[in-house]
Amino acid sequence: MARLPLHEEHVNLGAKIVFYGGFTMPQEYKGLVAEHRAVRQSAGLFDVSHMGRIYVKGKDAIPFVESLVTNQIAGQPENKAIYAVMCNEKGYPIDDLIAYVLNAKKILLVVNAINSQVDLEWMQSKVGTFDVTLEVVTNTLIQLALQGPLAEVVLQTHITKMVELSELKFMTYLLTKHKGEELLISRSGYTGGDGFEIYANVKTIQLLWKALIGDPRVSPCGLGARDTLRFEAALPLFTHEISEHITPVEAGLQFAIKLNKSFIGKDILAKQIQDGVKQKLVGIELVGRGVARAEYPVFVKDKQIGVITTGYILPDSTKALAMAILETPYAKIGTKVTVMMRTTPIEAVVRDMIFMQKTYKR
Amino acid sequence: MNEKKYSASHEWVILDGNIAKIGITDFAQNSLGTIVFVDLPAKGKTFKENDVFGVVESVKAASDLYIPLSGEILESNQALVNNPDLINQNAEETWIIKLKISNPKEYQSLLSKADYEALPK
Repeated sequence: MARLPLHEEHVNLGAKIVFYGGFTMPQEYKGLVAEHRAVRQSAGLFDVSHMGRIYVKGKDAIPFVESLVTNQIAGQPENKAIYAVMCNEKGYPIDDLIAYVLNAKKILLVVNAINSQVDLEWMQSKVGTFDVTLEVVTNTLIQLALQGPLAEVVLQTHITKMVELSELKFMTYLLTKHKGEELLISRSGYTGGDGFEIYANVKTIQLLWKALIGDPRVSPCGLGARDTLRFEAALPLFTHEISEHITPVEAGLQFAIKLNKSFIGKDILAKQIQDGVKQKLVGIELVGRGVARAEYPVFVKDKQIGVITTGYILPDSTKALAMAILETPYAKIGTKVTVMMRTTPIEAVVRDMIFMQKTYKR
Repeated sequence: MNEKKYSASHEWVILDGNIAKIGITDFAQNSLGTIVFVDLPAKGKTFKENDVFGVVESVKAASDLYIPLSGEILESNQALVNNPDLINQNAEETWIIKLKISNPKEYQSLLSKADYEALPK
């Protein structure tokens, strides 16, 4: 198990440590519920250095990434953080990612921890005649996420006055310096609220972590709250809401699929957009008591029509909510279904996936 | 009333005659975090020692409850239906089930408080 560069900081803060994606990671510090609330009410700081970070370098960096992912890379406004899905020929995701086009010859890809090796091998296999090199920088360019309504004012007090964070819009980034070292600040995150993802070398991130944790408005947050927050925002998690069995069209990610360009898997996805899909990602709310957890089967009468992908009773709520992938005829809002919770059938209803109003700064 | 005893799987038992009250320990509730649902067994159901008799769900995960003694469910704590976090508030006083035990010998092999607290956790 690899240790994060900030491992000692987590231990000193009393984190409960778990294994995730090949790393020892903080699951929680003071507790999941308190951390979830901190992100919704003030600011939470996450060490997300377990994410995979890969530079695509070379003359063909843009056309190469363009050929691999669903979203448009070339011709986007400068300083855009681009969410995209990288699919195989059958339209099933290899992974989802964020792409930062740093210049015409350099793109930073941020991918999921658990399959960064798979991603790398996939991309290597597709290089062909493209003039690119791939460089994994997961251990040298590390990553924090500061999330919550106070994230902007907090971060602003700990970085250079030369940067005006209030001018940075959702899903855009800027490059600056922090104590002489390069810093990439992206207004993005995985919580459905306002916040930033911050990339720099190990030394710089360690300095920033200490400064931010020392700020009384900031709570350290672990993987537990990271998952409840992204669920509340109905954001997909690879292997759950998108996977080798669930395409981005089935998961409702059309906003990140551009059909005016070529990419691997496009034909299948275009056909799904045009002709409709056999299964759809939906929201579920339990009527009976219980919690609908990932992989619980969903039935209508005696027929299994789908499966739960993620579910929680969220902090400060009594509603048992879930996302589920259901056969299309049963995916209509209001459809009555049964979730099999271990051996107990629980009544439930199909609903939208708007579990919260997102508060992105657009 | 007998001394409160403990299982290695973090349940506690108070035995009064042949009726056992069973809950989970403060250590267990603290490890679980905020409890949002308790899947309680039906009255009349019978279990053998170490069977799963229910499930306690925190925000993050579901954890099985293991029955430390064989017997028949007399009652499940219905207060937990609406207020599962009563366990967080006072785990050592909040019983989950009342059980009519069928094998009193099993009680002897449960742990004392000191032995439970000495377990590696």
